[in-house]
Amino acid sequence: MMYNCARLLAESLKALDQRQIILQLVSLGLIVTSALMIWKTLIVCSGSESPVVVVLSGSMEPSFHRGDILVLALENRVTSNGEIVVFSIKGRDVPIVHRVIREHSDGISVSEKLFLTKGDNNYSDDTVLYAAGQEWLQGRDVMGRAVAFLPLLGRVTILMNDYPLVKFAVIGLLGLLVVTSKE
Amino acid sequence: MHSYSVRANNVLSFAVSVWMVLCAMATASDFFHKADPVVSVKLAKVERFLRVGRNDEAHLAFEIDADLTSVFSWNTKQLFVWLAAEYSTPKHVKSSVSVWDRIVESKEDAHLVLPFVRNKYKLVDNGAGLRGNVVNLTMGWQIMPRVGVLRKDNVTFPAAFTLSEEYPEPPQPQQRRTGVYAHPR
Amino acid sequence: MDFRGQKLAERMYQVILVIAGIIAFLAGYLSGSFDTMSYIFTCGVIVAVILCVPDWNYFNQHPIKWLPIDEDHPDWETKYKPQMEAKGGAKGGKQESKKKR
Repeated sequence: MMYNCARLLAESLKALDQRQIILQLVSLGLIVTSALMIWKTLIVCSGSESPVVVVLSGSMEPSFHRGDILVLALENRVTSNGEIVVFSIKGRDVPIVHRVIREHSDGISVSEKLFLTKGDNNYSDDTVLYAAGQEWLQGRDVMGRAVAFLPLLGRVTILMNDYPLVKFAVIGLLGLLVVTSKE
Repeated sequence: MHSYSVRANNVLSFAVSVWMVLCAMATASDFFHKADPVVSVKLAKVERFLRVGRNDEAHLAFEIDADLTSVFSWNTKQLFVWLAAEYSTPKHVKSSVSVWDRIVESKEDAHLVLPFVRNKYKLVDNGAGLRGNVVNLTMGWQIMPRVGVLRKDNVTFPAAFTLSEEYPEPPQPQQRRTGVYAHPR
Repeated sequence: MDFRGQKLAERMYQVILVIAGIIAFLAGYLSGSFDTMSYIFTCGVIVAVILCVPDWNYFNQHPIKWLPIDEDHPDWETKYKPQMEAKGGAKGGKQESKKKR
């Protein structure tokens, strides 16, 4: 009799656990998919393939510091002189955030526009940063134009970039939190 | 469950939401900020004008009096002020070349009075299209907020000066563009 | 913390934070200083944490009243009594209420 009851209890507990595990997994999936949804929506709205970037270098100080977050857009207005753009260079995997200081355009094609950029805090313009033989940045290299600015929020990202261990710790901790938390 | 950690989490996440709303309101309030900047920019002197390799190059000096004090709002971190020479050549319909810039970090420094200031960057054309060309001067400023939307504004002085039809000095061979300038500030 | 206390805590931090936000924004906007807004709002957050996170007495004004154990229930002997014994004595009900803070 006693034994029967204990077994019954254990089984019901087990059933509960299974259900809970599935629930946690579903909520984990929900978090991941909603993050992805927000990201993709941002891409569609801003027209830029990477709508949010974290400033990784101090070359734009005091405009931007390491860890500031920039919101980018590409669609509604065409990039012009004086604006801050994010661009990628062949052979460099990290995009650069700098200001346009020269612009030459034929008035028709946006992607053929010629730009020269410079970091506010740099002594020289970006000719030295461009790929070998590349004299100008072209409209098609521009990934986005900075439209909004959120200070310091990206510090965590920088920490994670500089110390990969921190990244795994944070991801692990978050995962653990989601899996173990009970509604 | 209503444990300490859950409650602390709730309070802090709600605080972050409210803070985000405050930041959004701060940046929205900027759009109602009325500014009436008083800007005057004149060419003081064309110090050199020559052909270097295949490009035209002009060394300029300006007379600037710009009062941007009223542009500062409570959510303004700094202004990035630049002066651009704009012109049109057969090769490029629109060219805009920054010749000078400055970062203004406080309202007190926002009245720029520079009776004679040399260009920070030379006016270099991509090609040889500057001879006899009419150049507009545009002073632009980007308003960098504490948080939120970056805005910009400008004042253009059309046909601020015309460069001479002939080079006053002989051409020089093309040097490698080093792009090294004086220190920004 | 009892159930009414929980509801009170939730309502309290919402009200405190929203009011702190409104005051902070007005003060910051009128004084023309973004830092003022940050300071006032930070103070508001600290107040909300102090008032709403710990298990203060005012959250425990309505303790749960449990019904007495119904020993006349037809399933008492076969089902509920053994369950309670398995949980650690016939006073299982009280332990349940203790678990909720």
